[in-house]
Formats: sequence, structure tokens, C-alpha cells
Amino acid sequence: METSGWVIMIISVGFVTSFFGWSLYLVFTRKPNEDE
Amino acid sequence: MPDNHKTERWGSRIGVILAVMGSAIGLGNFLRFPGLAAKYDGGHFMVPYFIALVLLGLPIAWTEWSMGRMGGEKGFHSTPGIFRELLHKKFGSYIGVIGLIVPMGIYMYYVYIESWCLYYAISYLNGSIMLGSDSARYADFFNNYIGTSKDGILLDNGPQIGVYLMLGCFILNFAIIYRGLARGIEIVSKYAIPVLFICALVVLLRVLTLDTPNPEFPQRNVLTGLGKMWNPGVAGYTAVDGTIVPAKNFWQSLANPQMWLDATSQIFFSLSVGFGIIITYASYLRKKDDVLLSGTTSAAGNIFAEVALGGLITIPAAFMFLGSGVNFGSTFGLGFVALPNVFANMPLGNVIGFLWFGLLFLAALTSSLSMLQPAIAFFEEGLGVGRKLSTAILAFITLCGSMFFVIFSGGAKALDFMDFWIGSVFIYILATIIVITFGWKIGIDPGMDHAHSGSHLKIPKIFNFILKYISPIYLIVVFAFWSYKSLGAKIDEFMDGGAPMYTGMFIILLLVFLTWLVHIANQRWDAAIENEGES
Repeated sequence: METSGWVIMIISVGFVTSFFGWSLYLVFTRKPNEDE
Repeated sequence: MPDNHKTERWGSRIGVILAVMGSAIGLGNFLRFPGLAAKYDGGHFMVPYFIALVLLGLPIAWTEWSMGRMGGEKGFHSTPGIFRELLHKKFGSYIGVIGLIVPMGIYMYYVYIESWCLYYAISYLNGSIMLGSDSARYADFFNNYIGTSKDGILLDNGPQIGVYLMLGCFILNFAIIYRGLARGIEIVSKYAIPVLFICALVVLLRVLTLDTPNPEFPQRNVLTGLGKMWNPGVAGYTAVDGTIVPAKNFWQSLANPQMWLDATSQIFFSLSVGFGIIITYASYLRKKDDVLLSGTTSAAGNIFAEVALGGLITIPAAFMFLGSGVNFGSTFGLGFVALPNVFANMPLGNVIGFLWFGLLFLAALTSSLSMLQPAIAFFEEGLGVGRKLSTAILAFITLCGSMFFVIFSGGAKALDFMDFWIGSVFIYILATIIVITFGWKIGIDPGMDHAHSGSHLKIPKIFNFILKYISPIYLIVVFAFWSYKSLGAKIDEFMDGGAPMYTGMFIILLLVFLTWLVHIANQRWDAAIENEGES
């Protein structure tokens, strides 16, 4: 595997994993709004 | 305003997120995406892919979530009702027909494909699919099962096993959907999606620990497999016929318009935007429920499944066992012919094969379930019928459609033709209408203000500009280019007769029928408005 392949794989997989992890973190730490 | 039923609601926020994620995660994540990435030199493909995610995928997803909640606040849950309300014109309800025919039409063949996954998973349990290393045997296994040799072969001498399994999946879907939103779709998604991720992680772990599975081919190892998927291809490679494909640089590769087209389509279809499903799902949210964070999380989960799981499993595994002699661009070829050959030759292959096709089955099940809700919502609020009757009407219509694909199985031409029109053309059209309605009719500022109401996420202002100008232009340009490349051949197929022509006539018949039902719904809604005015 070439260095450029490693870089692209790490950036792509790292980005989607962090993005998913971050959004899940927000979902579990923000309390759902209550209706009036 | 529909008058009939107590409004259904989602049970929890994580439930609706998992339901939308389940709708979006399908075979495309684990088969189509890796195939396309490998076809376009992996790394290079990710550039148009992420650009399409930012300029189209995420903005349209937010738009659909927001428009769905807007419609739900007015008491509508189906696209005919929601478009009629948001466009303030009866004409809008007829536009909404596209949001009914897309999920219904796709369901008709998707449930059939879902049953293939189930059959393959079962075949790993009893070992009947461990056929050695000859690729031709796997192709025969698949073609015999789906009956590609000629039309009607699956019903000759009595229905084949594939027909019964399709009916089994069909009944399972309707049994779940009949239980309703929170007790049916939500509960299934809450279990199915985590199980799907766990299965995928186990398969990923197995693939990444294979090292060099066949010592006779030391160059086929886990690293070269990953390289096949992710290397940007600047070194060039040897094609199947032995010719050396010339080296490309980054900019040469990016100048390939077909790659942009495929990357955009992948984002689009993968996120399930333009299907009419997210609008319906979001219409069951409460007024103060968040839509932006939920929409973002669903999209993020989908691309995680696609890039981090599909991207690390499928192509590396296929390359390690089969080398470059695989048609990576063929979703069915890769999934149902190449990968079974891989699992048959892999240590613990029957377990991994079962987990793989089991997860594909769960992915397909959560997707097919979501395709039923839009029509059920319409029958309930448009025709004033209860859940039982609306489920029965939909079951009858879709069963006719699914049997159509069982009968016209020859060369899978009917399925391919339906997928082109319903699963591509109509989706592009609906997504364009959704974006234009949000950006230009509702208005981008009021629309985004509504989207931010109750939201736990703040979307940067730049997306107002992207949604109003960039996304519609991007969509129209891609659709125009795609139509220019593909439409002529499909019209020729229709004119040549046979299965594609029958499929085309079936689509027209379905369109006319749904338009007629929307006409009836309009009469009911008009009468309800008159009654409200009088009282």
C-alpha cells in the first residue's frame, strides 16, 4: 500500500468515524426538548 | 387537514435516528460504494464523494427533515399532503405522487433482493454455498437462484425456493409495519442497527487479520488489498487482459466527469434523500423535536457504515482471494458471486459469510420497512382508512409488483429497468423539487429558522447560500449530464419490447393509479376545509 493510500484511508476513515462519534456524543449529551 | 386518526409519534430521539439510519444503510453501503471507489482508483474517488456530501447530501437531508416536521405540524405525513400544504396549492399534492411511487416501486424489487441475502445467510449455515474456488460455480449458483436464464423459470414446475423466501420476507415486512411506527419500525431498528454494526466489525476484524491468505500469491495480502481500495492509482496497474493502465495523476483523475457523476449518485442514493422517506419519518416528530442534529447523526452513521466498514471490508477481501480479476463495478457480481467465493476460501468462512449476509439482510430489512411507511401514511390520511386496511391495500399492490419481478426474471432486465426509472430518475426529480421548494418557495431564511427551532446543532450560515443556489444547480447539472448519458439507451430498451416495455407500462399504470388516489384525497381534504369553514 502506498503512502498516499495510507493518508487517504486514514483521513477518510478518521473523518467519518469522528463525525459519527461527535454527532452521537451530542445526541447522548443533549436532553431532548419537551413539548409545551 | 386530515381528520381521521390519532397521530402516531416516535418513541424516542435515538429511535428515529436509528430508523432513518436503517433506511439509509443498505446494500449500496457495503457493495456499491466500495466497487465504485475501487473502479475510480480509491483515493481520487473520495474527493468528489466528500464534496457531494457537503454540497448535496447533508443539505438535502436537513431540508427533508425540516420539511417533514413542517408538514407534520399541519397534520400531514405523506408527500401529497405535505407538498399541498407547503406549496399552498392543490397541484403540490400531485407532485407528491413521486414521493409515493419511489418508495413503493423500490420496495417491490428491494424485498426480492432482501430475500437473496437471507437465502445466502441460510446457505452458510447449512454449507450449501461452500463451492470451492471456481468462480463459475458461484455465478451459476446465483443465476439459477434468481432465474436469469429466462422469464418465468422461477415458477416453472411450481414455485422455486426463492419465491417462497421472497414471500416470507414480504410477510415479515408487513407484519412489522402493521405494528406501527414506534412499536414496529422503531423497535426493529433499535435492535437491527447495533447488531448490523457488530456483525460488520467482526467481519472487518477477520478481514484485517488475514495477512496473506494464499502463500502461492504473496502479493495478495491485506496491505495490497487495502491499497486496491485506497491507493490513488498514480503508479498505474495491470488490467485483467494484461495491459498496463497508464499512470494517472491527481488532476487527470479528477477531470473524469463520470467519476463525479457516480460519486454524486452514491451520496445521493446512500443517504436516501429524494426518496420521500425522510419527509414522512420526520413528519412524526413533535414540534419542538430537534431535526438538524438527528439528520446529521443519521447521515454520519450512514457514511461511517459506507466508508469505514464497507470501504475496509469488501474490496480488500475480494482482492486478497481473487486478485484483480473481479468486476468491482457490478454490485450483484461483487456481492453475490465474488464474495461468496472469498468466504468459501477464508478460515472460518462459513461463520463470516453468515455474518456478512446476515448484516446485509438486516440492512435491507430496515430499508425496505421504511419504503412502506410513506404509502401507508397517505392511505390513512388521504383515503381515511385505518392501519389494517391501508396495510392490506399496500400489500396487494406491492405483491403484484414483486411477483412481476419474479415472473420477469430473465437477465434481471425488469429489475434493472425499474431501478433506472424509479430508483434513479424519479429520485433526482423529487430531490430537485424538495430543494427548490425549500430554498425558493418556503424561503431559505424562514426555512432554516424553522430547521433551527428546537435544534441542538447550529448550521453555519454558508449553508443558506449552498442550499439556495449551489445544491439545485449541482443537482440539475448532474441530472442533465446523467440523462444525456443514460436516457437514450433506456428509451431504446423500452421501444424494443419485452420485459423493459412491460415494466415501463407497469410504472405508467402505477403512476396513473396513485394520481387518481391523490385526486380522491384532494376531494376529501377540500371537503374537510369547507366543513371547517362552515363550522
